[in-house]
Amino acid sequence: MRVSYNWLKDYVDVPMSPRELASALTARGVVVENVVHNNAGVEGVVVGRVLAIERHPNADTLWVCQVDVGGGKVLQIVTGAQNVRQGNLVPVAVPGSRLPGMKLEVRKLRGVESHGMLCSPEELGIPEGADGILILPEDPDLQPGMDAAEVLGLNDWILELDLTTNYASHCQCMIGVAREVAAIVGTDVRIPETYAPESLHMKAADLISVRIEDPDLCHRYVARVVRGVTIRESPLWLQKRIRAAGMRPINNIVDIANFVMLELGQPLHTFDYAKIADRQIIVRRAREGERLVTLDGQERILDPDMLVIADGRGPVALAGVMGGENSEVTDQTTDVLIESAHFDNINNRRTSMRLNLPSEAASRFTKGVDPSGCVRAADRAVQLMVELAGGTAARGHVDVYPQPITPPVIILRTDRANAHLGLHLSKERMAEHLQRLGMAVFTPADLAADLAAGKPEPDEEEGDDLSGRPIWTAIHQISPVPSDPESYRRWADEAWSMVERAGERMERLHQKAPDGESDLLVVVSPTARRDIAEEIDLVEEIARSEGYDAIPTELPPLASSRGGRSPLAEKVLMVRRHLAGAGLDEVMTHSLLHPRVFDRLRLPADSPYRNCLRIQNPLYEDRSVLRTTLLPGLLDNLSYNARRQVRDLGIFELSQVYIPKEGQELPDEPWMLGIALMGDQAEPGWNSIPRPADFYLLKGIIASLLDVLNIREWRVERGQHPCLHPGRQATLLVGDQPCGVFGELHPLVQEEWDLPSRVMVAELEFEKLAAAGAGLREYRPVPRYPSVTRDVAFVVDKDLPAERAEEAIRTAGGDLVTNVLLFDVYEGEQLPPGRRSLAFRITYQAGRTLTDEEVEAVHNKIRESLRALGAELRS
Amino acid sequence: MKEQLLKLRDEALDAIAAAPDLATLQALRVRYLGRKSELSSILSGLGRLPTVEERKAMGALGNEIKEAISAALEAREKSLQEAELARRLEEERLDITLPGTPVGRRGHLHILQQVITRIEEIFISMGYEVAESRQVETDWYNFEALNIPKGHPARDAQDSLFISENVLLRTHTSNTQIRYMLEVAKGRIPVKIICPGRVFRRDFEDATHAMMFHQVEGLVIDKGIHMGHLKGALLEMARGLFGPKVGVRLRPSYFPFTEPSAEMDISCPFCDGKGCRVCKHSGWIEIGGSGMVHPNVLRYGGYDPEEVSGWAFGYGPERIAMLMYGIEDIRHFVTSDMRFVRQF
Repeated sequence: MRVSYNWLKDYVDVPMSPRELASALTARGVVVENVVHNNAGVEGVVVGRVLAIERHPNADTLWVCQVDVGGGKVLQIVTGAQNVRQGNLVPVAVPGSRLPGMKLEVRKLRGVESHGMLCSPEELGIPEGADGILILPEDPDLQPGMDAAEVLGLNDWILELDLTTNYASHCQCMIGVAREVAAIVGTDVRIPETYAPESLHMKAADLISVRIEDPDLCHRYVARVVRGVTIRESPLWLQKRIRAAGMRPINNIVDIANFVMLELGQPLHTFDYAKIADRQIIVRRAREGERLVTLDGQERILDPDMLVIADGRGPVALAGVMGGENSEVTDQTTDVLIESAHFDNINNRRTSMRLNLPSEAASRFTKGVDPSGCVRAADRAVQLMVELAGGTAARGHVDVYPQPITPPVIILRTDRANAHLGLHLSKERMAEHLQRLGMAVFTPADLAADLAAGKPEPDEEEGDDLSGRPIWTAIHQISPVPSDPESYRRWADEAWSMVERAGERMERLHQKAPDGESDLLVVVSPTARRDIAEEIDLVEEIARSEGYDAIPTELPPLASSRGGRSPLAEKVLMVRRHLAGAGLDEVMTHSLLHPRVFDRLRLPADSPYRNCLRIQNPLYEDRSVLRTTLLPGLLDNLSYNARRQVRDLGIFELSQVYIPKEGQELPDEPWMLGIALMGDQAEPGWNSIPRPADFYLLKGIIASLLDVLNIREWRVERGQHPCLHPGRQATLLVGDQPCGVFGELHPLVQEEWDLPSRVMVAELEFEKLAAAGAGLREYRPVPRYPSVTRDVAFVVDKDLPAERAEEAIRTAGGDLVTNVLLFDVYEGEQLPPGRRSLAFRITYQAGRTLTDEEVEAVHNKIRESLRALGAELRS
Repeated sequence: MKEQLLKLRDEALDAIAAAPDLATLQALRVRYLGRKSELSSILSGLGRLPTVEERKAMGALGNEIKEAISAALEAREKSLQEAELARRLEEERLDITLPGTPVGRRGHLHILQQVITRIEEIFISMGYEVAESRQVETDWYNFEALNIPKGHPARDAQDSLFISENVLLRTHTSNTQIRYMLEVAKGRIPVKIICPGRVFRRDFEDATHAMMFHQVEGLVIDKGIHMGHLKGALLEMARGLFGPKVGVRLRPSYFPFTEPSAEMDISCPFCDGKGCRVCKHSGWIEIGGSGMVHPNVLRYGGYDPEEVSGWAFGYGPERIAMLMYGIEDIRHFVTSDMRFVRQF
């Protein structure tokens, strides 16, 4: 929304600069994004009248004009524009004047002197998109020699508003913004007069009938008719307003409709009355496949979710979005039908989005328009048409209002408002804030009076009896009574129900706190404020009126609560820190993947990893399925870094995957730990010893993190993960529960990701690990007697797992053996093929000093048990 | 004999003084003081001397010479040892400018996780619980219960990534408000939580937009909570992150799940609010959204807005990290280029 500072002054006194105004509005939540001066650099340009125009002697496309620029001066000016006629008033950049980016001088064009130039809108910095010179309207106030920038309204400031969807509904028009300004300044808004004389013998209701077939989508439809209009250009003042709003003047009728929308916020549509078949308007859902050529020349194919305005033949407009060509106002139009309606905002928005047809009208309906304002907007348009187009207004309105929207009546507990905001405002102060926003504020006694008087019986001749009914009176003022008797009845029912509901609420509050009425206010809020329906909405209005800076900065006087993380989150953090300490870099990879990653991982068709969630409306295909494993993200990261010369890296990610579960609407989102190692894992340096990534390094990292997690009982089994090397992978078992896999990446997967060297990966089910390590560490008393160590070295079959030998040692050694360390593994030429040598260091310890004989006896037992495994002892 | 002894003494002392190293010195010790030394053999002739006096005198001289040689040996040994040490120390001189031996490799926690952890710590110290919930969520938890009914502009289809008509990737961490109220707190007060996590939007990605990013949500519910308490918590957080000089302000705004709603600004920590490039010369930096929990949201969460009130806020830790370190592109976080990760 663009707000002209000068135009705003028509409706309210603005005793502050545009920038001051902008920051005051922003502080109230009406965010002014930009304050721009409307004059892009026009200086000294004047209004001129073209006295004569003839072809340039040396150029077919140029014209030589004699232009009266006031003060008795006539200049010879060459122009290339083709739309200038003798007698036109035009902006003239005379020698010495300035246009944005240039200074004018006398110069020769194809041998003819040109004393300046005639200006197009673009040259004046007006973004209008029209070709040719800007032709000013004939206007008694307009004389050659006048300052063109002034005449065109360029010496103005434009406030560009960025409206939120709540206050937007009433700040989409000048009056709404003026209301906010009035609240800032503490003054009143000047509402424009809408009176126009009406014809005595011509009645709107006789000229047009209106039927709303879908009242859920069209709540109100007001129609008026003006006959005998002359279509011509708008007067200068109107063009100036239209331009200030960033729109282009078209003709008086279209400009008036736009002006009223900008002024009052109500989008209007104008039909050429003569083109409406059968003098009837039907508001209904479109029929499947129905077609309409809209004003932009496009043929639109409609469906029953779209609302149309139809006449006796078919659709003539897309309701609230755009008119149809078949009923458009043209230069030949003499009779105009004005539509001022209220459409459902959700449906309107949908239609506008589905047809990709944004319009000023649609954007306003979408954000919400005041249903009480339909009549006034129609009247304002009629008034201007009578005045500017020479028409005669048919008497009265057609006003069909099947779904009356009446002002809410809200009880405000001012104590509660203060408690909510941390403020100490008086009741009077709050009332003042609300009144300045156009609300009517009463006491509980006023409400009681209205309720005591009972629901007024409408009198068609006299209208309602308002005496002794302060709230009913306010409702009447805010929401003018519809003239149609049927509409009035519905309106009155709805409005009275608001009063009654307020009464019921008052009753409930009274029961809760019989003496608590002193802080209550009864507030009637304008229907223009579609965002205000309950007490909390008023609290917000008070907060932004008083200013958020008035709210104190405090810490709550809470009974201190124990903060912290869940046990799982604690372990997540602990392991992250441990792994970083172990030299790994933490990465973050995307939750969304390309669906092809499962093939790239060589997963079989029935792999559970393939059971993933798919995005129904993805933007990119490589972000279209939710990951079920961390591996692809880690491999992508390795390959990304390798392509940037970082080929030695160890990374991890501790995050979630998304596993769909049969019979569950939502997936499981378990925490997984992924690790990937590639290349040298040592910090490079002149004396560092290379540590190439291998299976055992990865296993060592996993062992260390299991220790950190306090997991003692774990083992590995050969794994069968399809993307890992079949001979170099393991399943981790804690207790007997599988908790993940680790090992070397399958060479074909390594190739698929184009990785320069062998890669070790792990993916562990973190929640299982975190649970397994719960509880305290087991303490053993510090030994008081010396320990004894003995080594044992032997040659066995290569296929014998080292773990089996260790088990044999521990079993044979019994309680005396407290530690078993495998300190050497050797395979090589000195040994027969298929055999290898293992060497263990065994620590013996007991609650006494062990004798050599005791140790020797146990050690021999161990040697025996190793022999039983086929070991050939070397020591 | 006397001449013999004196000659031997002179010869020995000369030889000791000239000994170039400890090995030579050891040989001299054997030669002059050993059992088969010349001195021994001379002194073994003492018995053949004619008089007792002579025998005594020569014996005394012999001992004197023995001690002198011994002392000379000690002295020479000490000086040779000192020289040896000095030489060794000189030899062992290092190039102290060579880089130190790496203490294993230093890994790096992802900077965004560091920032999130920092934010958590600030709130934990004020007694907040860290709560997490789910990322794949139903329409009800992500929208409906947050006062965003169907057709509300805030739920524009283009902003959300849908799994099915009713299931989507959460567009904010606010779903955790509802899940915590209904599943954990169940009516208990006070509620004091901070909820970090991944969120998703259907956004084309560029330097400032990501399809996946993070939010940190804060929620407090108790009796007597007012908007000033929101300011207080925000101030503590801002100072915990940016230092003691930072100030905060709230600006009116609109979010469906709070009322009154506010944008949260902090005074620019880079220029102390005087105006610089980072704060676009306004002195303030916008951090995120906040407000008093909307009564409807409290009701959906099983709380009676007549009895309790609360505030909530939400903001992007990416933005905080980008501000703190001057990171220019939000995509760095998920790309996790090692040349990025290893800087922190």
